[in-house]
Parts: sequence; C-alpha cells; structure tokens
Amino acid sequence: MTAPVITQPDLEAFVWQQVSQVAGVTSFSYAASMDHLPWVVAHSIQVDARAKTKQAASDRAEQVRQIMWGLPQVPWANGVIAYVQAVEGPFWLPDPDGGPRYTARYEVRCHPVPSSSTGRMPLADAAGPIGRNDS
Amino acid sequence: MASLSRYKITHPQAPRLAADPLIAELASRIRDQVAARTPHGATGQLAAGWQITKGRAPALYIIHNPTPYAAYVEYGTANMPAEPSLGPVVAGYRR
Repeated sequence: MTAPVITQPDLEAFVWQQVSQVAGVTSFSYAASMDHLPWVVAHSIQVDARAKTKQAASDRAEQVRQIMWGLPQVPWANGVIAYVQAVEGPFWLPDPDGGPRYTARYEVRCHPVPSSSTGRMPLADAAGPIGRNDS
Repeated sequence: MASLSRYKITHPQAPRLAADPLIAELASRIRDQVAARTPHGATGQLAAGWQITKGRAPALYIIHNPTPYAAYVEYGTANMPAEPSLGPVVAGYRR
C-alpha cells in the first residue's frame, strides 16, 4: 500500500510575489510542518522591512502586515491559503550597523487546489472532483 | 423558570498553579531542543546561553538568550542569512 504524494504549492514564492510590492522588504520561510490534515502544510514565514528611517521601516512593516492578513483573498492558481496568523512582531530589530529594520513572523497554512496541476487532494481522488457534477 | 446558578471563584490562580509544573517541563524541553538546534561556533556560547526565567505569574516561563548576537543569528541581518533555532522549535509546538 502506498500513500498518495501531495505536491504542495510554493508558498514562499507566492508570499514573496505579494510582499515584494513593498520596497525594502525581504521574506523567507524558516520552517514548515504538516498540519493534522495531511494536505495542509503550515509554513513559518519571516518578513523584514527595511528603510532609511525607523518610521519608514515601521510603515513598510505595517503595509506588509496588511498584505499578509489579506493573503487568503488574493487569487492563487496553485493553492489555497487557509490560515494566517502573526506569531511575532512586527518588532524593532535594527541591523548591526544601525540600519532600521522591523521584523515579523507569520504562520501561513495552505494546501493545493483540488485536482490542480500542482497537486491532488486525497478526498478529490476518492470522491471525484469537489463541487462538480458531470451527470 | 429555571433558577440561575451562582458561582464564586475562591482561588483565581488555581488553574495556573495546577498547570505550572507542566508548563515548566515544557519550557525545559523547548529550551533543550532549541539549544540542540543552535549553531555551534568556536566557543559554543550561543548554544549554551539559552535560559529559562520564571515569569511574574504562575505557568509563565520565558526562554531567552542573553548572548548579544543571539537575535542576529535567529533573525539574520542585512549581510547574513538567518539561522533560526527558536522559531522552528516553537513552530513545531504550535501544531
């Protein structure tokens, strides 16, 4: 017996696609773990917002926070955002040279679109496409 | 008509006091796992620096590292990628 392989969408790239609209921002995923549902993966994402002044960095961090909270509403062909939660920050963490930076960490849970080209959910395999009636 | 029941809380701290030993053990376990994940440099100061401080309320423990550069290793800098150790362990415990 083999377990189905569920190909996960590239959440890190999707988050970067969204937050890179704000200048001076970097983002990366530092952890990922499977949820209690085997097709849901919880990603831990860190987003740094830098600028020339502390206030400007704070403003950018706030823009990022709003983008992150709005992720479930952004159309994404490869996946579905199921949950977003800020777990740290945004908090003031200047670089060693004094460069202004605000840092925040978020937990984002996502799963593939049912029957998408990037993955198939097990329920879709067992019961046919969700929300579709061909008869 | 059903009569209302009234309850008087006689010991508001009781739930926290009951949970305190479990939380203390959990904090100790997290600290050990974080220390095991922490990059070991020439001195090992960062990995050895993880401490648990009891908070002001029962069942409140703070895991911290007083090493001056701990935050730079955990979160990275403009010139150095992050090597997080606390974040991934805590993320695992959020499951």
